[in-house]
Formats: sequence, C-alpha cells, structure tokens
Amino acid sequence: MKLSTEILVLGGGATGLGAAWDAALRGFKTVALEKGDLAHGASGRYHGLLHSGGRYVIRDPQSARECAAENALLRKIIPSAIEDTGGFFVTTPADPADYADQFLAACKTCSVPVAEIKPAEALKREPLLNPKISRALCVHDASCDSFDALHLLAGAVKAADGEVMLRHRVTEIIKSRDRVVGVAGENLTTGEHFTIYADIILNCAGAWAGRIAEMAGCEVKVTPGKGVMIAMNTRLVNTAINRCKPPDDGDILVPVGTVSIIGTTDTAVPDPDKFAVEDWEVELLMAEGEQLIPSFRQHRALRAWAGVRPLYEDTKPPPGGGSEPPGGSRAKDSRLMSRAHALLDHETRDGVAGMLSMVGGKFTTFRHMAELLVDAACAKLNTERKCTTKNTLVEPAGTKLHTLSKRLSNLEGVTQHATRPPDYSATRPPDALICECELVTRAQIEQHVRESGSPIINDLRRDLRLGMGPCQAGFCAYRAAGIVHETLRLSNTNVNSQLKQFLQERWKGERPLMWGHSLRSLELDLHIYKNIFGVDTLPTERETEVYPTERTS
Amino acid sequence: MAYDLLIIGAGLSGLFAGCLAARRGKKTLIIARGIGGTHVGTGTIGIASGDPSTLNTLLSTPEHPYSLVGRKALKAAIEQFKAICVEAGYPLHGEIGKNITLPTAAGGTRQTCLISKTMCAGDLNRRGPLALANLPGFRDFSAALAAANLSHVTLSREAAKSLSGTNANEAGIPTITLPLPHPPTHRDSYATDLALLFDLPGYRDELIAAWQPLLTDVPKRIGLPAVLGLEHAVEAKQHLDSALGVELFEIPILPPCVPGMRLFNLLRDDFQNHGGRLIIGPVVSGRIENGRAAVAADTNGRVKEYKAEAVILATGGFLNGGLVAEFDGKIRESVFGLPVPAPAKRSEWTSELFLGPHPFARFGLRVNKNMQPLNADGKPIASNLRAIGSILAGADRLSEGSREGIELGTAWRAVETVA
Repeated sequence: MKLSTEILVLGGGATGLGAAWDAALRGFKTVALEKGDLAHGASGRYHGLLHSGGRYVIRDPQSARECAAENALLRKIIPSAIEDTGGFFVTTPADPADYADQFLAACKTCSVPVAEIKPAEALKREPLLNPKISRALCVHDASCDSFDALHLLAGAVKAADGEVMLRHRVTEIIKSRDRVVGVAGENLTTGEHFTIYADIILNCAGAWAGRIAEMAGCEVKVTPGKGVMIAMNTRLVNTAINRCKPPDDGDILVPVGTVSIIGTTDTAVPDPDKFAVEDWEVELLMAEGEQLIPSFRQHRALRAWAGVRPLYEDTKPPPGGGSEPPGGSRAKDSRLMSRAHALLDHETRDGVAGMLSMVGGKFTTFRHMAELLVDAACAKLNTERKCTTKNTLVEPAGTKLHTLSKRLSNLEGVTQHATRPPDYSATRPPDALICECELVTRAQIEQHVRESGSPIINDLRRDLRLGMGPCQAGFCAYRAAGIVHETLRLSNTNVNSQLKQFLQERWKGERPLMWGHSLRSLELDLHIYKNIFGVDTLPTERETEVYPTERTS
Repeated sequence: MAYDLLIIGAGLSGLFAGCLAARRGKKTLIIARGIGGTHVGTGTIGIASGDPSTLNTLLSTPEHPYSLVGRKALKAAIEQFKAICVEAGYPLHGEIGKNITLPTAAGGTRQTCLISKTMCAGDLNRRGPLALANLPGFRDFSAALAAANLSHVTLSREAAKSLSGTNANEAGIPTITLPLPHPPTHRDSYATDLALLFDLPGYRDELIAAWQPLLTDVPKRIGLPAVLGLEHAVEAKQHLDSALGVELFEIPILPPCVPGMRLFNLLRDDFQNHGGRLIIGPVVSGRIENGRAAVAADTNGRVKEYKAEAVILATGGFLNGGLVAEFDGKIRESVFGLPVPAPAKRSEWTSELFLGPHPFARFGLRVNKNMQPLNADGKPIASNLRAIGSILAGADRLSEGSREGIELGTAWRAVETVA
C-alpha cells in the first residue's frame, strides 16, 4: 500500500490523536499511525486522573496552569469520558504539616481552583479515609477513561476526514537528502508492507519517540519512566484522593469505573517494551494505600500494571520553540525529571527537515500540546490556519459528564432487562449480559466486532471494558470467544488463539497480586478454563505470546 | 452432645466421609462455612487422566495422596461411591483404570473416569455421528465454537469419521438450534434456572412439541449444556430421549454446575438418611489442646463448642477456603492454623503462563498414611485429627485429572482409621 498525505502523525495515544484531530480540523489531509491498538502506550496505562493542576503547583507552575485550563476545556469537549469525581489533597500524619499552606498559596499563584474543607466534612464524604487527616483541600480533579476519550477522538478524526490506522508499525523513516519525506512499515494485521509520503511528520510516539527520531537520524533522549499502578476491586472512594506532600510513590487513589486505582511508582527503565511489576513496588503501593485508607489491605487487589511515561531529557539547548524543562535534566530519580512537554524542531535542532517531535507531557494537556505542535507544523508548511479544538465539541452539545450509574441506564435502554412486569409472551430472550462485572451485553460485543472486524478479545476489553471487573474475565472470556466466532465466522483455531491470548493477557496483570482472594480467583479460573473447557486441548493457530512486560523478579 | 466424628467441610470429600461414617453407625456431624466444590465442579469423577500407567505412577509417587491411600482403598472408595449413587437412583458409568473422553463446552476434550448416565452418549470414542444443540439466548454454551473445535479433535481416524457423519470429516459436527419455550425475560438464565424447568414434566412436554419438528435429518446423539434437571435428571433424559427418538448428552459448562449439585444433593440425602447431621453457615475454628483437636463454631457471634472423638478437616484448597495465602507470603490453614510449607517469595508460587502448571497447586498439608496432618518433624499434630481432599499437599489435581479420586480415596482412608 502506498499513499500520500499532508500531515502524518506517528502515535495513537492522546498526543497523537489530539494532533491528528487538530490537523484534520484545520483542513489538512491527515493520517495517524499506531503500532498497537488505540492507547497502547502510556495513555492506556495511567491511573485515569484528569489533573486539576494541584499536583504540580509547587514544583512545576507552568504545568499546573496548563492542567487547570485544559481540565476545564476537556470537560466540555469530551464529557462522556470524564467523571466529575472532584479531588482532595489530604494531610495524613505521615505528611509534612506545613505543606498544605504552601500548597494553598501556590494554587492561588497558578490559578488552580482550591477550597479547604474541614477534615470532618471530608470524612463524611469519604468514610473509608484515614480519620487522622488534619487538612483537606478540594480541587477540580476528575477521572477520565482514556479508552473512551481516545475512541471519541479517533471518531472525531474520521469525522473531519482524517484517517487513523491501527496496528501499523513504522520500520523506516524515508529521507531525501536532509529531509524526511515519508515512512515505511508493516501492517501487523495483514503483514502487508506500506509506504506513506507526507509533507510533514509529527512524531507523537511517547516513550517510543526517541526510536522514531533515531530512525530519522536525530538524537532525542526519551527516558521511559515506569509507573506501577494497582486497581483495587471496588470504589474505595468516590473522590480522587491525593496526599498533600511533594509528589511521591503511591500518593494518589483515583476512582475509575467500578474500581479504584492507586498510583504510582516511578523508576527509569531502559526499554519501553521490557519492564516488569516488581514485588517491592506492589508492597510499597499497598503500604502507601494504608496511609490514605487504613483498611486498604483488607480489600482485594485486582490487577497491577505499569505504564511508561515519556520523560524527555534535553540533550541540546532548546531552539526557542520548546519550553525549558524545569526540575533539571539527567536526574537519576525519574520522578524528578520534568513532566513538561517539549516541542522539537528537528530542522533547527538537528538539520533534518520535515519532522517535528512532541515529547514528554501528560494526558491532561494533550489538546494543548497538539495545538502547539500543529501551529508549528503550519509555520513549516507556510500556511496560517487557526486552531479550533478549543471550541470544537467532540460530542453533541448537551452531552453530560459520565456518571457511574450511566452504565445501568444504558443497559435499561438497550435491553429488556427493564421490562416491568416481565413480558412472558415475548419469544426473544433478553439481550444477554456477557460481562456481568462491567455490564457488557451481547449486542454491544456483536456490534463492536462487526464494526472493527477484529477478533482480538483484548480490543473488546479496551473498548467495552469487557473482563476488567472483579472476575477478570473468568466468566466472560469464553462467552465472548463464542460471540466473536459466531459473528465474524472466523476459523476456530484463530478464535482459540485469541481466547488463550486474552486469558494470558489477563493473567499478566493478576500475577503480581497472588494472595488472598486473588489466588482463590486464579484457582477458579484455572478450574474453568483447564478442567471444564479443556482450553489446553484446543487447536490454535499460533503460540500464545508471553509479553515481556511481565514480572521478572 | 458428643459426636463420634466431626467433619469440617461439605464438599465431595467431607460429604463422602460423612456418608461412610454414618453408614457405619457413627454419630457424625458435618459442619461447614458454606457449600463446597461440587457446585463449581464438572459433576464427574476424575481419578487420573491419560492411560492406566498414569495412575500407577501417582500411586507410587512418594507424598502423593494416592501413594498414601493405596490402590486397594482407592478402589474400595470408588466402589462405595458408585453404590451410593446407584441407591440414590443416579447411577454413574465407568470404572477405575479406564478413562472416558468427553467433549468440553469449548470443544476441547477431557478425560475422566466416572460419569453420569446423562453424559454417556457424549463419549467421543463411541461410534456414530453427533450434533450439538444451541439454546438461543443461553449465554453459557457456544455450540458453534464447540462444534467447530470438536470437528478437529484428534481421535482415531475411524472415530473422527464416525463422529462427523457418514461421509467425510470436512462436513464437521453440525449444530441444531433448539429454542427454549418461555425464556426468562427479566434476567439471564443460569444453568440452574434451566435445570429447574427441565425437572418439570409439563415443561418437557412443551420442549418435545417444540423440538420434534427440528430433529428430523440430524444425528441422533445430541449434546447440550448440562441443564437436564436438578432433582429428576435421569427421568428427564429418559422422557426426552424416548419422546424425541434421540440420545441427549450433557456437557458441563460454566458454574453453577448442575451435575455437581446433583452429587451434592445425593450425598447430603444419603448422609442425613443414615442419621448424620449437617450444619452449613457458621465460621469454624479449631485448636489443638493436649495433642487433640477441638472445634468451635461461631454463628453470628454465638460461639458453640462441639465435642467429638475424631475430627476430619475437609475444607479444600485455596478456592474453597481451606488454605489462605497471606500478603506477607505465608500460607495458612484456615481452621487450625496448621503449618503449610511454601516458598517465601510469592513469585515462586505461580507460573508466568496462565495455564500453568503452577507450583501453588501442590501446596497443602502433609499427612501420613492415616491421613494425620504432620508437623515439620513428620510427627502427627493431633492424635484425633485427619485431613482429606484438596487441602492435601503433593498433587497437581488439574494436570493429573485426579481431584475427585483424591477426595474420595482420602475420605475413605481417613474414615477407615477413625470409625
């Protein structure tokens, strides 16, 4: 396959899709490429917090200001992906007592909205919270489902005549003299080779941005900063809870969907494709969780995973376009490395024209980063087109912010579950609930599989949250495999491979947490899939991949 | 009131031990936190998968429960269990040393030793073509996927040819859509919902009327999910088979497991009919005093001591709560706090592959030939205490296909030594 475009975006995370959406809205012919599924990298593996800015007010005021502004904007643009949980910064006995006052003052300076409430009031709202907290400061944190957000963005790119191509891996950057003119690579679904020529390439590959730059002959040092998170199997809190202290491991608990997520650790790793969740990280997060919620360890830890933050280390002086990263570069502790973004113009920086890179940054400010990047692209292409993403709604006007109860009302809307009294004369059975934990129905799966044509059950997980709840796909994986088989009429060996791969993928995140109920659950799952279904006796098309991101310890 | 025998746990091993003791005239109490593993099982009795040499190997593997039980006791246990099932009107088919290969609900295969009559026609080594029934709207059985996979099962070429019809293998195993009259409209059905309907003769008459016209020109051996009645399964199968002119067979599906529940019910009834007492609900705690086991049960804060000459611990493995893995990397036996040796690092408990084999499967209590739990020095912890079933160390039940055989054999052996 060969095609040409004006703007080619590399990376299907928040930054990449944000840039593709922005560029398409400005009328550029736009293509975005992603080597995995949407949100394959850090966008799909973070704790789900839409930052109020509070976390950055002291160390990184610029980021704090941007977060506060973007938080308010995103609530309007992609409301159905955002739940307005609000956030607290609480001072536990383990936190410095004077930090809260510094925090309040810094919030004012950075225009980050904040209000102090009495600890008793905070405890009333969040009964499981540590009763020994001495301060409670309310901020505008929210919880954002990045899979939903990126799906909406991908839809918006397509609606603006742009293209998003998933599972397309770039293997070569094509240059003509000192100019980047296109990319070549492989469509991982079909094995087909592709070449795409572009007027300009926007490198938004996150933790992989350094590799892309290297293919173009530029040195960009992006340190993958591994952050480990653990999902607890219930919403222990309904508000995002931050520790009121300098950023540190395990300082935040975010309610996301039916679970709550504690995060994170922060260690630099050499390779964004190879890292493991270590026992010490799990122990540390469980211990920090107890500072926020004294009964933390009594709750079941459901799943652990790690994401890689793209932390940019500036190896060359910024040529003017990029913001100076605060916090100092080459820090050994990757937590001290900047979370700020940097825009790299490879023409002035490295003498390679035709490519810009956006590195670093965070999910909350993706729209802003995209705007800066496409502004710079316009300058390179000698055209003046105004950014409109600030005022363009991805969803119909009047769409409400997400609420937890929405899933139930959706279900009642599409099925007969709500029929009162039950209509016994109906011959059609109710639309079956396939994933009871996350309320995913048969009709949703069929529709999704038909639209995507993808038999990958893990994609159903990202898109519909299938198998993400307390049973971790113990019951729904078999049901979903049957539906995929019937809907796509694929070979049984292909579906068997998908089922085994999905089970392996679920296991990856459970393995670091094998104590208490999780081990019980494993024994049940093994019993179901090995004994009842004999999955190990099924013929498969290929070997199950064991991802290198599993624990090594 | 003092008992001759107190059994903690109401799974297959606990109930069977209870039946054996009650049948010997012993005053027996079974006390359990909840219902045991029967409800998440397959309702079949696996002893050892593979050819007969596998069982011989296990019988001579030191520390394997089978080597402690011995062939003679294992055989006696199986015979007694079969006799109880016959008496209950739910005879099992099969014999020790011979495995039956059954289809799974995903279209894989599973070897097991004793199966209920409701599963017999599914024996994959039996001649004759078969079909699978799709029950529309019932989410726990995918006939299409199972049929597609079963068509690829590597049996003998003759058997494969025979399964997939008269002509060629390529035709594969067909599926037939058999709609259920009055599907529940207010929520999804579980296996138990359908089983309760199949128990009703009137409902079966409606099924027959609806299915009859759909069954011309299809193979006569028809597999369907295991929902053929909870209390009257044998009657339900006979009724449907003779009226429809087919041979139905059940395939175990996602829990709840109806065939397993039948085993629970028949063992419970047998135990109670022989004078046994069953209490389900309290939290049971035990302690060792002067070398003897003593048991108390806590029902919503009301604690009652139970006196018994002998105590059998049949609380199961991790899944059923007999063993508890702690965050700190220790493994605890849940009633008496007996020692359970295990590596200190949690990462050594499991395999990086989901399907294992996982080292934790072999964790459990070490016992001697009398089923007495042993301390680190290899001495019995309490003279009157026995442990049986899935709580015992030394077996990977899933890989060996030995779960139920161990349950029955160790129960038999323990009762032999105390009653």
